Amino acid sequence: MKVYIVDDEEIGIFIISQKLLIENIAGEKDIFAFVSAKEALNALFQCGYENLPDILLLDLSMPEMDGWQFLEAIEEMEPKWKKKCRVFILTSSIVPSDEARAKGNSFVAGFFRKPISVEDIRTLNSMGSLIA
Amino acid sequence: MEASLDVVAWEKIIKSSPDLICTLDRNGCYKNINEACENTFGLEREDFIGKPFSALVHPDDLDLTRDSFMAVVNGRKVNNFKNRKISKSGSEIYIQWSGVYSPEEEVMLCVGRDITEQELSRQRDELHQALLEIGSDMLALFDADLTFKFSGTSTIKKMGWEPEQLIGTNAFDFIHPDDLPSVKDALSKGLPEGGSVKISDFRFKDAKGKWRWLETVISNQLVNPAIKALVASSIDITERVSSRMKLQESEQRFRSLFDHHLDIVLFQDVEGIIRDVNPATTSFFELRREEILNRPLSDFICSNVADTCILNLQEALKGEPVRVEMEVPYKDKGVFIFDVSKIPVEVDGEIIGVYSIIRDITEFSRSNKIIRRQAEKLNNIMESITDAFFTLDKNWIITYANKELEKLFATDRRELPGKSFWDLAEKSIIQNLYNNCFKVVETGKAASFETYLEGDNKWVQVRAFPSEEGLSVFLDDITEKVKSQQELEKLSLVANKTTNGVVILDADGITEWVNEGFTKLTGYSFSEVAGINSCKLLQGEETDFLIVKSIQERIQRGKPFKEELVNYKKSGEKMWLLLDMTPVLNEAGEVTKLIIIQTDITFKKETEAARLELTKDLFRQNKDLQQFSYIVSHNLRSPVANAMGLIEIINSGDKSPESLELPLTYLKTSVHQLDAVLRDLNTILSIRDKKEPVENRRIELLPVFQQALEDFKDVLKACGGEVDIEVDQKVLVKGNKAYLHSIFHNLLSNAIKYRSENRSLKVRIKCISNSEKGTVISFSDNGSGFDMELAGDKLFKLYKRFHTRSEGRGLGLFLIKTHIEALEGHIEVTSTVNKGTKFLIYLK
Repeated sequence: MKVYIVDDEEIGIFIISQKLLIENIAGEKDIFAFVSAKEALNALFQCGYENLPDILLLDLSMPEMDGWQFLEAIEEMEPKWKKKCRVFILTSSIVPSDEARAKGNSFVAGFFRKPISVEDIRTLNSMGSLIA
Repeated sequence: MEASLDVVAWEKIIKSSPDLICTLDRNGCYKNINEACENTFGLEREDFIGKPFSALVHPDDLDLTRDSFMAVVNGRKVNNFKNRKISKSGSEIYIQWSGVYSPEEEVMLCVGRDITEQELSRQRDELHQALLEIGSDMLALFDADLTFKFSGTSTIKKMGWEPEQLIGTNAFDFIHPDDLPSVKDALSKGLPEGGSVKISDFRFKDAKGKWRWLETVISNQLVNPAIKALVASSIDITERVSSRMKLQESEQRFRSLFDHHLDIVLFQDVEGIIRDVNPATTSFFELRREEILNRPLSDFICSNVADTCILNLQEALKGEPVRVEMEVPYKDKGVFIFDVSKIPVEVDGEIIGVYSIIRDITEFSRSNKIIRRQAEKLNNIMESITDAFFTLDKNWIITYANKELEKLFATDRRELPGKSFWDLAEKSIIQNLYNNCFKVVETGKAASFETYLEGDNKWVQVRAFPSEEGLSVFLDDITEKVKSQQELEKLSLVANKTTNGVVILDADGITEWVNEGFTKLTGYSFSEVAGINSCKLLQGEETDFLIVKSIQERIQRGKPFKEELVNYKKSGEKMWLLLDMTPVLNEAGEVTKLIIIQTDITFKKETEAARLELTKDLFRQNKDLQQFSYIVSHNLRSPVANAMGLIEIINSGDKSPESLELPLTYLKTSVHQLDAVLRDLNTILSIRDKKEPVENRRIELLPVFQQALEDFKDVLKACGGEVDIEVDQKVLVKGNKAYLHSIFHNLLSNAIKYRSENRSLKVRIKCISNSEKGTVISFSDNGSGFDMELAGDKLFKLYKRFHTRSEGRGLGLFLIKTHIEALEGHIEVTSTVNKGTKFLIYLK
């Protein structure tokens, strides 16, 4: 399973990568991490539709372009990606309004709070497999 | 022979006889005539012979002549028969005839004598005698010294003098002494021999001693042997003289009337030419008499009036007097109003002209107009008096009643004049009215009183004024007023007892009444506000004049309303009043009064203000709380979540020291982050809560910059950055040293943090302006800058970061802003990506 992680914090990326590896969701070569939403967006455009990741884990609070702006960007430019790539929000925010807003977005497949739990990983797995 | 001699002699005698001798046959035709016949009648012998005598006889005498002829023929002898014959020249010739008929010869022998001279002389004598007897002229003969020699019978009739009374007396004794000189004068002048003189207009005494006016023609016949006297023929002209004198008198009267007439009088002939004018005319036209005479009237007046004058003249010329009033503009004297009478003058049934009497009635007409106008005005005033009004004469008879009285007493006012006041009073006016009116009449002073009319259930105010004619009485229906006064008395009782202030204003905003509550509330007594606008008095500095204006507008709408307004007591103390405004309207919908009830709502207003302040505070705190919860949820939660995640990894994974090294390092970082956030929070809250008042002390800026620069000395050296400070030592700002340090520390920190990797950092701090108004500091760098559009309004917000891969927590700019605002300043920023950022800091 190919996974993109978009998080400006190195620590955040480390934690989720370790969890995915521990749970055997993805191999090290299948995990792509981006500290900036812009970089992630560039990568998505360059990889081509066939090589889109199965799962994209998205942090919300980021400088320059935050998670919401990222979602708006792909929804506007490539709405068909929805079929191929499932976006999961992974945030440290515990504000309920963030979760509500995320669920209103058709691109968002799930909303997780940091730190990601084993159940979350399993959800990820099942959802990712479903598509595959 | 002898006989024939005789015949010849006779023939000669007959032939040469001056008497007419002729013979006629039986038929009256001439048989023979002598020469005298021819001569007398101027005819030839042939004109007679064989012709009938009748041909020559005067027609008037023909019948008589025939009768005589027939008598002669019948054998009678006719002597001295007179008849007239017509001569050849047509003149009458008197003939005296004698005739005898000779039957043997059947011839009539006629002898006639021309007696024309004698006949005419006889006739003249008869005529003279008759004239003397019956003629009207008085005839007299005088000798040279005018002594009567003869006096005719007319003198008896006319003067009563018998001839014997006069004959022998001198005529001068009978002449009026006044007339003697003129008579003598006339005689001495004009009496040549055979000449005559006419002496007119002298008085001669009659038998009764009265003076008679005579006109006498005296003819000097002294040398005439037949007369040898002065012949005087007199006629009595007394009547003529007296009528002439009367005429003269009347003419003089007329002239005097004409000349002294104050009006313009002029005479125009039928052509309209002025033939005579009186002095008033000349003085009006300011022209001499000669300048006016013989010119048409139209020469002196303007043309359109002249046309009217001509028409009037023509009308008058028809024989009827014309009288018109005319407006005549004359020169620069203005418009005159003339009363013009044109009177035709008729002489012997013919109109010869027109007299015009032109009276200037300008003044009269004007004053007439004025009087009329004033009378009308007076009438209008009387009619328009809204009070009922009537006048009485001295006998208490109503002389005038106006419309209003009709209403008040429901009586047809036309029936009122002429009626006695007592009759009217029986109906409705009670004794009170009588008594007072009597008083007015007696004292001559005006009276005013109010009285109640029981019958009509009305209150009236009566005002009675004495006048020359009697009494003028006004009755004003004040029923409503009295009622409302009573009402008001009740109301004021209520209003006085209430604790609220009550004010009554009239239509002009003047205070009519205030209650005790008003005095308690405002400190002003009624006497202090009476006659002025008490509302304006209460307004002051903090009174919202827009509301005052809106109140004034709403009053005019006439509906009750409420308004809250800042007012001031007499002591100057401010208070909030709730004003309950009730406009009072009249029937026409106009505001006549305004009732204001004042309630002190100062306490309520103060509470409201405090509550508003509290709300504001709460709102701000709520906002802070929201931001705080955001910080907690993101920035505080983030390192915690990381720590939790790392611990899970440590617990679940490979526990070899090598594999634990990284998670443990991250864990340490996370915990440090947590600590940093907590310390940030502390910093923020300390700024907020302390609310240290800005010190009035002036702080030198330069040492502050130098201190901040000192903090980053090593870092700057390491990265090769330069900081250029262009701030004078004298620049002072109001503030707190710690805050100012924090501001520039953070600005420098940011500049270093976000410096460009492509060039060495250059920072420039410059004082742009420094004045009383404040100080502006420019802080610019050549760093990486940021996208202004992306940053938007989030730039100075807490924990907002604009750079990926940097250690910034998003606190610096937030702190800078918070501190500057605490110093009552503000900050502006401009930035260009990869060029640099420039801050402008405004301090006091």
